[in-house]
Amino acid sequence: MTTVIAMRDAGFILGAYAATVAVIGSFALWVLRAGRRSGRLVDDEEKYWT
Amino acid sequence: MTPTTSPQPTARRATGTRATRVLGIVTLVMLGWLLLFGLVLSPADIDQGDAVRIMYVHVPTVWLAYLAFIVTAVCSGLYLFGKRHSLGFDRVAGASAEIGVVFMALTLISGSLWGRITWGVYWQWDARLTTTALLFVTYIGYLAVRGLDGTRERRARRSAVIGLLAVVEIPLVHWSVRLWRSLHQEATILDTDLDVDIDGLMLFTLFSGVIAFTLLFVWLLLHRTRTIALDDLLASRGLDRAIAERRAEVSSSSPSGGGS
Repeated sequence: MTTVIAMRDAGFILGAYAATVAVIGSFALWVLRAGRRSGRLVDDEEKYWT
Repeated sequence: MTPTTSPQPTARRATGTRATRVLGIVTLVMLGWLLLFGLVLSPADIDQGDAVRIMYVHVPTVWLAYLAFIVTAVCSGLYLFGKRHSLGFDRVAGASAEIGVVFMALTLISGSLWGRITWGVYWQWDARLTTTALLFVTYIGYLAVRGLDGTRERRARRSAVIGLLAVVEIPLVHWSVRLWRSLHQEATILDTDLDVDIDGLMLFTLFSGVIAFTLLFVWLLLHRTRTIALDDLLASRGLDRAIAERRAEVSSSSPSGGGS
C-alpha cells in the first residue's frame, strides 16, 4: 500500500481507479435495486429467466 | 382462539439467477486481480512512469464502450429489419447503450486525469478528445429519445434508427488520431501494423482489464435487460388497468348503463 501511495502522481492515478470503482459500483447497485423493486411486483412465471 | 392466517406473500425473484451470481463473483475476482496488477505488480513505464497505470482502466473502458454501442447497433438492426420486430432486441439495445454511456464517462474521467499528468491539462479540444465527447453526447441523446412519449413500438423504431446512425461515429473516434494531428497517442494494440509494442506484464495487465470489464459488461447487460423487461410488463399492466377503468367509467355514466 505504501508503494502505491509513494507513486509519482499517485493522486491522479488513484483518483482514476477510485472514480472507476465508484461509478461502476453505483451503477451496478442502481441496476440491482431497480431489478429487485420491479421484480417484487411480477410473478416468477412471467419472468423469462426463471 | 384461532389465529387468523393471512396468505404470506411468496418471495419473488429479482433479475438474478445462479448463472448471473457466479458471473458476478468471477467479475469481482477479476476486478480485484486488475487492481492488484494495475496498481502494484505491473512495472512503471520508462517514458510515462506510474501514469501508465491509468491505461489499465482507460483502455478497457473505451473498448467496452465501443462494444456496448456496437451491440446497440446490431440489436437495433435486428429489431428494425427482423421479421418479428421483437422488443427483446430493443431492450438489449437500450440496456447496452446505458452501460456504454457509463463506460464512456469513465473513459473521459480517467483520460482527463491521465492528460493532466502527461499534457499538464485536463482537457484539450483535440481531435480524439472532441470526437469522444461527441460520441458520449450522441448516446446521451439516444437515451433521451428512448424516454420520449409514444407507444413502445414507436419508441423502439425511433431509437433503433438513431442506434444504427450513431455507431458510425466509432471508426471516426478510433481513427481520429491518424486523420488529424492529435495530442493523443496512437493505438498501442489495435494499430494498422498489428505491431504490439508493449512490455509482457503490461500487456497481460491490460488484457486482464479487458476480460474483467467484458465480464462486467455481460453481467450488467443481463440484469439491466431483465429490469427493462419487468418495467415494460408493469407499464403494459398499468395501461391495461387504465383502459379498463376508463371503460368502466364510460359504461357507468352512459344513460343506458352500457357502453357502445
